[in-house]
Amino acid sequence: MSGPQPIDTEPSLRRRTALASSDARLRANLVRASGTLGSRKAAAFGALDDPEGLRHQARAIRHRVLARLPEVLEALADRVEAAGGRVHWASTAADAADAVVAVARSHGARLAVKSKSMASEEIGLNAALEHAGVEVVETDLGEWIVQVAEETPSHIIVPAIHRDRAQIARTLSTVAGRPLADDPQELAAFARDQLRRRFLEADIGISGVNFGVADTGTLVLVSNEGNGRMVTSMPPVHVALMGMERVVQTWAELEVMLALLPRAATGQAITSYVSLITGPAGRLEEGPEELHLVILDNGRSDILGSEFAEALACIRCGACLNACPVYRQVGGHAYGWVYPGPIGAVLTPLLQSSKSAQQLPQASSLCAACWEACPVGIPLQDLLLGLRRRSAAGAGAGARLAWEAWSRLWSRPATYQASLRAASVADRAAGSPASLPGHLDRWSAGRDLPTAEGPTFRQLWDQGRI
Amino acid sequence: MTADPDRQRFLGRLRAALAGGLHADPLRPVEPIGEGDPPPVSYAPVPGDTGARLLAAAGAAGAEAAAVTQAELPELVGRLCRQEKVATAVLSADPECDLIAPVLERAGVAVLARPAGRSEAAGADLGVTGALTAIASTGSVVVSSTVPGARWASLLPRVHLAVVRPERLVAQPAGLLRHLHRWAPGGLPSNLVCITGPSRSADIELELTLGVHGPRAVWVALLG
Repeated sequence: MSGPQPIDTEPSLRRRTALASSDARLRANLVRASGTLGSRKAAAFGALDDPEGLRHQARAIRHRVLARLPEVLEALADRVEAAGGRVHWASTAADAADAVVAVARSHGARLAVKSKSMASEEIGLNAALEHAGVEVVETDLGEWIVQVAEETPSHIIVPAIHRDRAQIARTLSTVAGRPLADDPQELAAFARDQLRRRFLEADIGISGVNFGVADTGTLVLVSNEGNGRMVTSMPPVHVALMGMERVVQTWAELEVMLALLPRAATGQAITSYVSLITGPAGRLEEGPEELHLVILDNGRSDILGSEFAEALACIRCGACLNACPVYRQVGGHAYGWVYPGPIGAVLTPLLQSSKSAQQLPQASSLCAACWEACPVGIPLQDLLLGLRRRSAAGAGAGARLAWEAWSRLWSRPATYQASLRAASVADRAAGSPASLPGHLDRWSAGRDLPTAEGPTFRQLWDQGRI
Repeated sequence: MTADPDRQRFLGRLRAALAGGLHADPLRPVEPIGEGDPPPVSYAPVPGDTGARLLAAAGAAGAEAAAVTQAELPELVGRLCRQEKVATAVLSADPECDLIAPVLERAGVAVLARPAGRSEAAGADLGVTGALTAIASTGSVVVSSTVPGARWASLLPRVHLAVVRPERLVAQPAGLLRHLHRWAPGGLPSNLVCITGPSRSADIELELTLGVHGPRAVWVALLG
């Protein structure tokens, strides 16, 4: 495959970041796209009487729901079942994938069409289905492009944000077997043709869930392209995969959330389609004969019981990505997993144990732009800081000793100045050091050390040069 | 009640996690809102009656929206058919479609099915439906799966025409979402969809493209 390197498979955060930030086209696309989304969002919030008040309210609603999550989920499941749906409780990623595969098998399904679902990426659903002999077709335009390119999405709302039209035209030309012009209209028309055929043939439709409403067992899906509607209307079986936290109790709460989600995500007052799905089609209705809801834990219950519980309040709008100065430089793939941006830097180390995941909270300036952008007021920078604290608590004795030594050194003027003079001298002698000596190299391994800029401020002051 | 062991295990884990209560942020405490429903979302005032606001918002969302009397319907449908090059149509079982069917026939448009079936709708240029309700502030029309043919007619053809009765208008989304008993007194249908303008995508360089999966054009006729 030509185009950007598959940095999402690169295990080192440092290498991923370096690859992403050296890709000039990626950075230009990101800056343009996240800037546009950010300004559209600001305009959409202008239609609200009291955006800040609504944000406080939304945060309190999410908090209230999470505090009673077992009861809310029980009510949702009972209502879904009462409406004729089936509920699957998936404790792990494997449980969830197994549940979907079992549904597909029971229908002898050969082809599954999918609308965008972060949770399905999280559990590796496509691979599991393909292993079971079921072809999976992503139907969100951006997701389809990414699937054809054999990449992973780089943005929650705009999955192919890292690619420009020329790159996309090249990718889709391989499907067409003829060169396609790099015109978004023509490319979208080509996608419509290709995917319409697959919708008509599909045996099973797989979607995510934006909100489950406990009071009525209703699953809410928002989409702009209409693929969410196609996936949940055309095939005879609909499987909805939902992270366990994506629920509200009442329609009144839903009303608040639906005012915020599209405004924060794309700057729209409402998306083209808001589907409110309650059970499978009735005897006199058109639509799927079967509805399955898979409720996914996969580590979320550990978060629920921790000081990071508020991370589960996220409604997946992507606003924190667009606001984040780090995301705007490196894009989604550098985060190395399904959830990018500030919310990804919080969720990933909580859901994944790899070393690279644990480093993510360091890749932040803690500027709190994410918190300001978040429509449900999650204090993401506090969560990031908390995760750093957690890492520090697990640090070895050597690192602790080094920090204590540094703290003693810099808390007294004489030793502080001596250390700067030493740095300045060492720098002139050796150029910028690649790492610190002794135990300190563990700290410097993941960082670029600053270059000491010639004489210190005090030396310049004493020489009368300031 | 169900005795599903997966469910018991799942919920038991959540209850254990919440045994000490949900963690409260000491730096930025959540302002509590008590137990009841949160108040409806309040919007900055917009001039005009609900009909005018529906037409303006639908237009802003990319729909062709017009208020018409019954006598003006043939003119509107004729314009639609010319502009969107419509030769074939499917209709839902909505009573509003009774007004449209003869007009289409006089305009030389072949009505493939009423109520629309899936395959006829997929091959038709135009799908016509009524609307359970319509939301003025967003320019949305709401289509219910209880009406035969409405699900396919509003989704699969290139063009969707929704005929809206003015007495069914609500001002804000809350008029639907907080008043379900009014719109679904016998319980919720399996599918309610709020449709706002045409199908759209911005997945390629954030450039707007219409008609990606759903209709490329949506026409809203508000009956006067």
